[in-house]
Amino acid sequence: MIRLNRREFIKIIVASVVMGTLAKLFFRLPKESKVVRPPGAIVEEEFLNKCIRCGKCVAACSTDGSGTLETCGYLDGLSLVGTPKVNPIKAPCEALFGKCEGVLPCVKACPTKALVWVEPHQIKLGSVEWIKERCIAFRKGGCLVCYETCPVDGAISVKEIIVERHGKFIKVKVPEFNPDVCIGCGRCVNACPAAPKALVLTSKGARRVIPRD
Amino acid sequence: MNPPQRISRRDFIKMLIGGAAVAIGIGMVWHVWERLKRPAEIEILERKVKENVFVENGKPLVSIVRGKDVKKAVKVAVDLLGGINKLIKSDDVVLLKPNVGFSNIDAVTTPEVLAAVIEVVKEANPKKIVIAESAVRGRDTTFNFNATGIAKVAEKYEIELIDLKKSKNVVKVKTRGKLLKEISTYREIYDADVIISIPKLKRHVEAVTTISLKNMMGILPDSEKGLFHDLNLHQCIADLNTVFKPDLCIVDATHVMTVSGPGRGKMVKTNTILASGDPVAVDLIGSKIIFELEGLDKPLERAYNIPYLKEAAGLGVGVMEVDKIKLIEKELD
Amino acid sequence: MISFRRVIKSNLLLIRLMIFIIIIVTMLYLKTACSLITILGISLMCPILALQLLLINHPALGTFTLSIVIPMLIVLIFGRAICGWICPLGLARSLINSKLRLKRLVFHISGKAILVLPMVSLVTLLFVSYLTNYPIYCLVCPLGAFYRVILGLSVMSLDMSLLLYLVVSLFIISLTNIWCLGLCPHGALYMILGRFKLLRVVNDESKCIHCNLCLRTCPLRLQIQKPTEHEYASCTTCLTCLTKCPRDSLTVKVSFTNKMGDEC
Repeated sequence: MIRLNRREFIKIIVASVVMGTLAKLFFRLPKESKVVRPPGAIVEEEFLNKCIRCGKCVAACSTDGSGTLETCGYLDGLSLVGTPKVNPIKAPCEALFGKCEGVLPCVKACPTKALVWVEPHQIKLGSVEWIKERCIAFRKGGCLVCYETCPVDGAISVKEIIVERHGKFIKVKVPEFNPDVCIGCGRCVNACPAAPKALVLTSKGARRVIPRD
Repeated sequence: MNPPQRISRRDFIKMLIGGAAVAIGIGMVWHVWERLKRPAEIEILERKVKENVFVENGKPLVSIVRGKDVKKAVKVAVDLLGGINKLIKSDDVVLLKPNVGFSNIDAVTTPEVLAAVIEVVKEANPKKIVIAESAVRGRDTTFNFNATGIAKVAEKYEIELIDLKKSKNVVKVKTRGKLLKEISTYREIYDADVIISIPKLKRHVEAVTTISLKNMMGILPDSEKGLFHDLNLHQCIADLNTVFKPDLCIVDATHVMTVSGPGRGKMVKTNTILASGDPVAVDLIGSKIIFELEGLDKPLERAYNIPYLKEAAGLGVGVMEVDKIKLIEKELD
Repeated sequence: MISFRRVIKSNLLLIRLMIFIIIIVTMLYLKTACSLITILGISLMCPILALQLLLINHPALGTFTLSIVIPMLIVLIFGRAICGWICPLGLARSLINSKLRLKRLVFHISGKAILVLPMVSLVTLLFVSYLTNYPIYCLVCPLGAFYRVILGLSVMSLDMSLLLYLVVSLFIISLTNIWCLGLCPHGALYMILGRFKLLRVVNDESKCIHCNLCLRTCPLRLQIQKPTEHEYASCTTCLTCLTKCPRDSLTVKVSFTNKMGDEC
């Protein structure tokens, strides 16, 4: 039996004050987002404040499990736990050129306006990065599925380059990415047949809404 | 009901580590179970491929009909081959395979052509007609059905529309191919007696052209499509068609995608329908037409050099020599 | 004639298991995490989140008035009974402890300490949230991890780090009574607000033989024979003592008074 007496209590109170001060000193909200947020997300610092991690956007996106949104776990960073992120490997975001265009169920579901309505032409979730060494087109040729499936004219184009293979110089067709035109839907990432994927969706260049309240 | 005991700090830490180990163990078991969810042994089925019924004196027929009235053009194209009743019997399940890989109307089989084919097929009174498709990797098939108007056509004629990406009935079928010995597809495809491929005449960035043979990739699960690109696209297209050869091809060349494809390209209006029971023959002619529209020299020679055509002809899927094909052309207006 | 006492005595664990399964199935169906649960069109906000948001004056508070008030009313009426019958971690804990024969870290707290420890825990939490201007407890709340795991399962994308956190938390919570007794902020709030809750377990002195079985089997180790008002507030009415009492001297009284033996 462990009995708690007054001395123990003072220890507890001191510990809590220390914890509080440490938290205040070291807990920082990240200014830039590491993860790709749903369409209509406000700027990251405000987003982390407004988002109450209720998961309603995730549920609205994935009513039958086929949507892209997931909740962040502890590996994404402590301050991000419970917030929504786009996972293109699971499914692309359908907010543009897809079934959610003009509908945005994630935005409709958000109770705190961490996600706000945006017009389709304003949506840019991020951009894609190409990992050359993993790309089937670069390594042996015969694949341009990312180019085929990309719904945005000019985001991905085809380039012929000369590479050396088995002592000979041959022409191969590889994809070329324009991050300024890319809307970050992740269809190319989803479609990439390489394992591990040769494309990664990043939050670079994401268009976030500046909240006005 | 344990009486309270003094627990040493070491014991507590041991219990903490034990708990973490249990959790990690559960996580790993779950991860492995997810990987193994697909059944280890899928029985490999066999499929008998029918001979081309639309032949004359041993030569496969290819009809080319030009006309603004799509319904009439499709009917005439099939009649010139010998009529739909040569192929379809009353107890057949007919699979219509249009190209609905994308959501923009330029890149898919036009709904009017699909409707025309449905009307022709209905004349033969088959047991059942189904339309099925698995869109390009990264795209949503049901969205494509709705955005292109294909869903409306299926609804109007009360035909079952299948989004293969939503089906879980994957089967494996033996091929006569060089690279792929078996192909994964869906039960709904395997159970069909007659396959009618209704492709759009388009250029393709990797396959050069995409017509009847390439259109058959729409019966594959996404993982299989990825495998095609990883191994050798042209060889795999040929291998696929050794077992899932379309019995009739009706090519939608009303608007042809030239210069680039398969998603976007320069659209040329030609109001043409091609039909044949030989997918290699009609793809050869179709490819030649695309090259002619682009103004390239030696269009037939270019078509002869398309790798998937050469492989398919070599595996006996169809006839590639133009003097062994009988062409019938007709102008409607 | 069906005696409730007999039904509970023989089936307590089974009833708990059924409620646990019903909660999981409901959460899977509702597809919701923890902060805001919408049932039949009514949104209920987690009281601890509500407190933190109130403290940091969150901009969206205006839309949530009803969502905050309704759960608080429920807490006022039922207090810690929520811990005993609705909290999935509490239910899981009782199920685990009934099956596993492990050495457990047991704390005995009596007197005013029963009230003070939870208050300190809650105040510390709110203090840290206030300082960081952020509902920081929600990031580490084990209940939050539980509901996020359920949400992940219902949308078919489960984050392993959340599952790991949940299992480790559940393990720790099951091995000791100090979490439920004094550290869990939910329990602390329910205890403080639910001082005058509806249900309480009272002891009939005439039947009691002072065997102390109730004390030894209580998951929180509360002094059940002669409870003070602090013990009443801290009791989760889990009814474990009721099922173990050899003389059936314990009964559940429905009343709003906190004096022993008084009728409502």
